[in-house]
Amino acid sequence: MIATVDGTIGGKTTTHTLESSHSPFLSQPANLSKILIDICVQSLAEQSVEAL
Amino acid sequence: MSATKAAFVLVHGGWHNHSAWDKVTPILEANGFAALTIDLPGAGVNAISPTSLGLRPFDHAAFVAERSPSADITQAERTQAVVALVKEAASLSDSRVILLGHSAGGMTISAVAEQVPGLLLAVVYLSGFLVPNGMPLLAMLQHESMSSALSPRLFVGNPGIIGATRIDAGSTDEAYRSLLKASFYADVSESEFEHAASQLHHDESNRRPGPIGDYTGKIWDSATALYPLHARSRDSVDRSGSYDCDG
Repeated sequence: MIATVDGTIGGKTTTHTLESSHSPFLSQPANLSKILIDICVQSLAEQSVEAL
Repeated sequence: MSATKAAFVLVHGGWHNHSAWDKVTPILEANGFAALTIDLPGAGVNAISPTSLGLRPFDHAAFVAERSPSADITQAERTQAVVALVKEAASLSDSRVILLGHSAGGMTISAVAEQVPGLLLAVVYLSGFLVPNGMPLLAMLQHESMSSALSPRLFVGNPGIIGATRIDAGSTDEAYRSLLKASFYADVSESEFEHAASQLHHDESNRRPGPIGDYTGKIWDSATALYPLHARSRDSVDRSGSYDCDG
């Protein structure tokens, strides 16, 4: 379904996968936080490039 | 006060509240980010339990038939609550906000992203509903892609009549509690499950998106990147996509 949505919106999604239950904020908070921080760092970098 | 590197706005899923993020926000803050959470309308401090829950002896028939106190909560109300929080986060971070929605919270963050795309660095769906335009929660939960999900087996009452999708969060029935754990918390300890379950509320309003929060697709046209974060359970069916949600 992600592929379907991604195709609809022109390839703007980046999918990350975490092997966990439905609640990784409880079972894997460190791993989840790392992914979120990586997303943030990547987004900030892309924003900087766009600003050039 | 100087702005932080960026700010996260974390939106909980159905039947949950801000406490879902209690283990995550300290980590983000320790790394120099602001992390803001919320109790959506009808959740956490805003939740109102069905009055039949207070009857003794407990009357299950009354519980499953009572119209929800949350029935009139709209998607627009949820959207506006999060828009306000995003604006607060933007003021802390020079408008560098990462907006995350867990599970049914995905519906709200899509609507929010349409309202304030210029404030967002990215939109993250954590096992979140990344749904076609205008699809309400109840329709999503009844979608064929949810056919193998466990959480619909938790629902009690007729959502069309009571105006909400209701779970019996405080049930002491062993089979029901086992299903609740398998649906939401399969890989957490028993004590953590007991605490998490104690935080749940009973009803999620079924109201359709209103004029505000009606998904127009604008977000798809913006430069905001989307990050489906697929929490793939080892012990339930992999629905292989953003519809892999259990709540």
